[in-house]
Amino acid sequence: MKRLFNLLLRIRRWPVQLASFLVMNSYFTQGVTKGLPCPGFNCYACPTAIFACPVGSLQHFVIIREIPFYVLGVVAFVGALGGRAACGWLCPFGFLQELMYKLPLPKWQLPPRLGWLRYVFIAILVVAIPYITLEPWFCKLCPQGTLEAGIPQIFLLPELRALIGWLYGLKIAILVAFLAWMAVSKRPFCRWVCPLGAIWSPFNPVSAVRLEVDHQTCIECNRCQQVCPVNIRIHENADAIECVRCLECVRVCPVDCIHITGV
Amino acid sequence: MKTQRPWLRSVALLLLSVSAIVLGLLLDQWMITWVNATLLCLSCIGIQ
Repeated sequence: MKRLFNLLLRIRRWPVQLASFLVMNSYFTQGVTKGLPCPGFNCYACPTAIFACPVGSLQHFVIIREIPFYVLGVVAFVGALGGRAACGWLCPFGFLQELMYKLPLPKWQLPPRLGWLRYVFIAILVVAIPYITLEPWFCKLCPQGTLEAGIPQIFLLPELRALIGWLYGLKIAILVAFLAWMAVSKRPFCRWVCPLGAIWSPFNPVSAVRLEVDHQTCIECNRCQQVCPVNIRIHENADAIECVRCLECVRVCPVDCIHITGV
Repeated sequence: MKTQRPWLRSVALLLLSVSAIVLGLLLDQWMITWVNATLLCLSCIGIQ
C-alpha cells in the first residue's frame, strides 16, 4: 500500500485532470455509459459528455419522487474510497477553477468558515425547489451547464436560438461572475456552492485513503496552505472536510510531516 | 471519535455504498439515470 501512495505522489496532477476532462467528454461511448454518474462536475447536456451529472441525476430522482439509491451509491462509493479526492484529481470544473486562478491578477481569499453554504444550496436548489416545482433548478443556474452545454448547444442546434430568454442571460451572467471570481480566489465554486463536494466532504475523515499529520515534526511553516487549492491549513486538521486530497501539501512539506494513510 | 480499527469503518462504508448501487440497479434506476442523461437537458442549456 505504501508503494501505491508513493506512486500517487510521483504522478503530476494536471495531466490527470486534463485526461479526466477528455475522458468524461470523449463522445463515442455516450450510448452505453450515460447511465453512470461521473466522479466530478461535468454537464450531461454537453454534446460530448459520456457520463451522467450526479447533481442533475439527483434532482431528477427528487422530481420523480424516488429515493436515488443508485446515484447516491455511486457517489458514496467514490467518497468512501478517497473522500474528496475526485474533486482534486478528476473534476473538470475544479480543474478549470485552478487554471483560472493561475491568471496574473490580484488575489483575495474567501472567509474560510462559509463552507456550510454548500448545504444550503443542496437543500434549496437540489432538493426543495425541484421537489416543489418539478424543475431541476440547480441545473437552470449551473455555470458548468452554461459552459459545457448552454454555449455549445446554441451553436450546434440553431433551432434552439429562438427559445433563448431571460434564463439564458441569467445563466451567462452567473458563469461570467464565477469565471471572474475563479481568477481572483481559490476554487470559489468548490468551497461555497458545489453540492457534489458537499456530499463528499463528510467522507474525508472516514474514507479508505486519508491524510495524517505528524504534529511532533510539523514546524507550522504554512507552505501547505500556500499551495493548497482550497486554501486550508491541513496541519491543523488532516481530516478537514474542505480538503480535496490533491496531495500538493504532502509534496511541498519541507519536513515530511504529512502522510497518506488508509486501509 | 478515533477507533482502533479505522479500516473497518471504511470497509463498512464501501459495502454500504455497493449495497445502495445494487438496490438501485434492482429498481431499474440505471435506466432512469441513462434516459434522463441522454435526453437533451433544456434546463442545463438555459432555455425553458
